[in-house]
Amino acid sequence: MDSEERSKAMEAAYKLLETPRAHLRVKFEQTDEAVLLLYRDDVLTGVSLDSSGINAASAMAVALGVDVPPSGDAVEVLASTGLLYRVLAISDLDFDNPASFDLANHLVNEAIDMQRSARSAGSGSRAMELSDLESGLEFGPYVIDFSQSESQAYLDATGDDDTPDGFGEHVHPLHLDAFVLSRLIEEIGIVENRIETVHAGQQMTVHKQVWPGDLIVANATLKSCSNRRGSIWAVFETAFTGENGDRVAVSSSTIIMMP
Amino acid sequence: MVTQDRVTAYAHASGDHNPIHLDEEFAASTRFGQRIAHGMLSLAFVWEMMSINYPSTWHKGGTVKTRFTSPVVPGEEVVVGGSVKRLRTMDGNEFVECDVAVTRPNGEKALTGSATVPLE
Repeated sequence: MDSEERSKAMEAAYKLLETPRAHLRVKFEQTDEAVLLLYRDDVLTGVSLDSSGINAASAMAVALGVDVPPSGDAVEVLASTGLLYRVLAISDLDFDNPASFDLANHLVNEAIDMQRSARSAGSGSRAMELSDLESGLEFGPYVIDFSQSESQAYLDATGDDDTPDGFGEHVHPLHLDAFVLSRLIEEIGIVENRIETVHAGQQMTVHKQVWPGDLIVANATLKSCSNRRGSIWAVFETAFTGENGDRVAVSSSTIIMMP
Repeated sequence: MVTQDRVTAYAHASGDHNPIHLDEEFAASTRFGQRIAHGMLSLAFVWEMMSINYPSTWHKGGTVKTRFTSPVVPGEEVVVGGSVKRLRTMDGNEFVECDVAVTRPNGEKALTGSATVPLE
């Protein structure tokens, strides 16, 4: 990929990145001639396989948190727009100029910090006590990316795959909600601490259909939390958005925990 | 028919491994005295009913508001039903509002609520 091609691709890429997003699924690919970064088959940037380009590709890989794929291969990465800005900037550096190494190092370190904070925000690994629950607490973001088989397993379990509009082709909206609920009850420690819990109510509004392979991001908020005669009533509101930031669904779940 | 196999399959598919649905010993110690099905499984039955009746609009603007009022116990056959409550107009768009319910064999409602769906 020559510099003119890269400039053209990056012009479109920076336009894509104008809207801040927590998760974009990009592809990092090595062809016979270049290492490319793609979004939905559009090249965002690329570097040639000369000495400068190879240095750039290595730095891009570190920034993305992956290895450079072998020739003819590709790897998918979830990255925020902020992280992708850094990767694009690295790809535009001329590594024949020694000063570029310092700049690349700075950009890579920023990208690594972003990877870390994204992981800690989405890991759901923190142990939580019920006493930690308070209104306004945020959970997620949870990245949902159901495969065809995962989607089908849900449909098989509910028996809801023979409806006239062909659920078999798209993800059951309640599957999204169920996924978030399962993460919430894990984070709260319901499963680990074996806390008697019942699901008391559920609301959901669906705005768009979702297909297997679509990337959905869910953000949940503990809207209210109250203690009633020793039981904890918690209402979680969840917003589901698509890769383009479009609203897919919203839901509200009421659960009662009896510690 | 809600069987324990179905509840277990639902737990695996949804990731909701709350022991009240799966662990016989734990469930015996709860107020229910036995394992119960996921409320979301009952809601899925309502969802199916609405998508059968409103196939073109249910998935593009449908809303459910439900309460899980009584647990479904594995081995029970439930009846899923609904009725049109009223038609209403909101922001120039017409909606059908339905009462929905899932009823257990003993007549208790496992789920009650409403479902609102836009008309084409």
